[in-house]
Order: sequence, then structure tokens, then C-alpha cells
Amino acid sequence: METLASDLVDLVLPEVQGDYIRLGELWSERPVAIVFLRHYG
Amino acid sequence: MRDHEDEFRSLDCDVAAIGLGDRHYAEAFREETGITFPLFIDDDRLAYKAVGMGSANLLHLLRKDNAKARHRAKKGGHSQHRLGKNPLQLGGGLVLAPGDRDLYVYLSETFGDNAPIEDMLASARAEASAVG
Repeated sequence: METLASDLVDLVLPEVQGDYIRLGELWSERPVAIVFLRHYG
Repeated sequence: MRDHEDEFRSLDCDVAAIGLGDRHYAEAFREETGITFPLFIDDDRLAYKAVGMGSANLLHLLRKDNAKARHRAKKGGHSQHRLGKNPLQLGGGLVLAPGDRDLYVYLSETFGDNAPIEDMLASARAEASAVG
């Protein structure tokens, strides 16, 4: 089944501290709550 | 979200945020808010587009609910920084789980329409009960 998680799983983004992380790693072992900010601040 | 981080973690649920803007914006935001959970930089809106998060239009600024949201934010001590290059991009909240499952999806419809944290917590709680 197509899910938003499956749409995001292979996307790689930089974390502010410098590492590039495949988003799927965030929920590979346990759930994760992700907030999409509209802006910083 | 930072006020509820411990509650999510008590449910064995991690916390993360994705933001627009460049590293400079993100670093300033992280420093100012004191958040310790991962903060991703999505300057090209790849994740936003992947999940179909929409954009507002300028007419949304005139909506009553936007005025209320701005008032609420100001009262809560929040202030908006310089706008980035995508000021109309809307946000939202997801709770995702192993197996690429969507436990909770909330896509904002206008400015100030934020994912209800209580609903996000409820989905994490339900998952913890099902697994535990």
C-alpha cells in the first residue's frame, strides 16, 4: 500500500549538525513524530 | 513540539523536524529554541513535495483564523523571523512507524493551522499499546 512513509523513506536530507540522513532511518526501529515547519522561528 | 518531546519518548516514539530555509536559518532556530532532536534542512522542499503539502495564497492572510493564530502565537511569546524564499509553503505533522506505516497525517490548510500535538501523541500512544 502506498503511504507517505514510503514516499519519504529513501529521501536523504542534511541534518543541521551536518550529517546527511536517509529519512527512513528515523522510523526503521520505532515510530517518529515529524513536524514540518512552515518557517524557522 | 519541544514541550512534548519527553512525552513522545516515554511512548518509545522519536521526534524530528523538517524546515525550509538554509543552514544559517536552521542553526539560528536550533540555538534559539534549544531543541535537541534532529532538525533537517529541506531548502528545495523535497520532503514537502513528496507528501503533497500545499501552499497558501495571499488571501489566506485575510482569513479570520489566520488573525487568531497570529494573535495566539504572539501571546505565546513566538515571533516570526525573516521570511525564507517560500513564505507560502504550509507545514504539517506526521507520525510514521516501522514498515513504512503512516500512523498519523496532518497537512495544514492555511497559516497557523498546525498539527494538533494531542492527536500526534494519541497515535503514538495507540502504537505503543499495540506493540507493547
